[in-house]
Amino acid sequence: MAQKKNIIIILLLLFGFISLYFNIHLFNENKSIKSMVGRDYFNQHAEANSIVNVVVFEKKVSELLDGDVKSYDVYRTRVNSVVSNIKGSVGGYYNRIALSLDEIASLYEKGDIKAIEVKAEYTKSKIIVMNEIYSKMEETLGLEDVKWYGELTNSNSEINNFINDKFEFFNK
Amino acid sequence: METYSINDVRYLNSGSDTFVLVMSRFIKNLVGGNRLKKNLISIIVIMLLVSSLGMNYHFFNETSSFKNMIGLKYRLNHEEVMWNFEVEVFDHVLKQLRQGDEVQFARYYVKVSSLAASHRLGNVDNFYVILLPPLNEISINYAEDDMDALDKNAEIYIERLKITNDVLAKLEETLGEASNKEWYNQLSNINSELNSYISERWSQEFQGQGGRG
Repeated sequence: MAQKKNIIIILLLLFGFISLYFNIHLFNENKSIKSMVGRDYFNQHAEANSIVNVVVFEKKVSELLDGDVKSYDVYRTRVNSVVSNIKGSVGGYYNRIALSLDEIASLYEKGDIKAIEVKAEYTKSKIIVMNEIYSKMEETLGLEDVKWYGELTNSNSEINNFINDKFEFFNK
Repeated sequence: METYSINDVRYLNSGSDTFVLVMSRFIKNLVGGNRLKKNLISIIVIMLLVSSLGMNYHFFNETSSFKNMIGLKYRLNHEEVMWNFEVEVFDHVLKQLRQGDEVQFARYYVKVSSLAASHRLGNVDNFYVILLPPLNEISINYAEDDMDALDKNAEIYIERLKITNDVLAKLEETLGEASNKEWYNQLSNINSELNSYISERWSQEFQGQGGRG
């Protein structure tokens, strides 16, 4: 009887160790995927911020007004490409900006310079907020991949609350 | 009266003796008794086992939802790349460039380079990287008005584009019907069948001229 119980305990312990081993394995795999996805997020946001940027935007618009359609068009393509990778609310905000850029291009084709200036001013105010959001991300998330993943996927995190607070501004 | 009470006390005393004896045995059993100790250990072990299994289940689910998510991204990337890397698209752009429409070409160049930078697809990356130098050359040739060199570079580019498309077709053939998780497994594992095929193909095509612009 005692023998039987001992065997059962040993078996349970064995299962326990195997299960623990799997836990460790899965935990590590999980963490490495999180850090991979987090690094992707970081790269995407950093790249988007370097392109959707007040300084770059103003330069491109002034080039367009000087008649350099090519430079502006390339900029627009680049913005579209970069922005399409970004998901979530921030991706939505970026898409609004991309649409504004398209509108500016079609206004240029119509030759409505006055409207371009108005639209550019409007777009600029949105870009400033995007840059603010990025600075906030840099400040709170730093260079930690897993943190980028964790905070950006958690809809109730500090950074996501900050982002969601801008929703009205982008949709008014 | 007195005797009776003495008897009564004696009786009580012997009763409490028995009670103390039974209790002390019970406590001894509880603390040091073999059977109870073993039961306690098994209960703790079982609890640990169950919680450990629960954690396993949680991690497993989380990991497989990650894999699905990333696999889906690979699939979408693949479709976007296939679409943009069609030879016809480039032919059209090149035709426009020869007619003096620089904008189309510039847009194409930006599109291809940003796809190459952001779209990870296992070892297919290598093929993207090798697409960029001839494109860059073409824009330089155009700026310098060197049409012969432009034609030559366009030829190199189209050749590389065709090889890339071959590889992408192989991807489509292998994974077209597969689940998102399979996309993840095949493309994120460097040693997978598909990735081995791709890197073999790459060294076949570009061995020795790898870094050439």
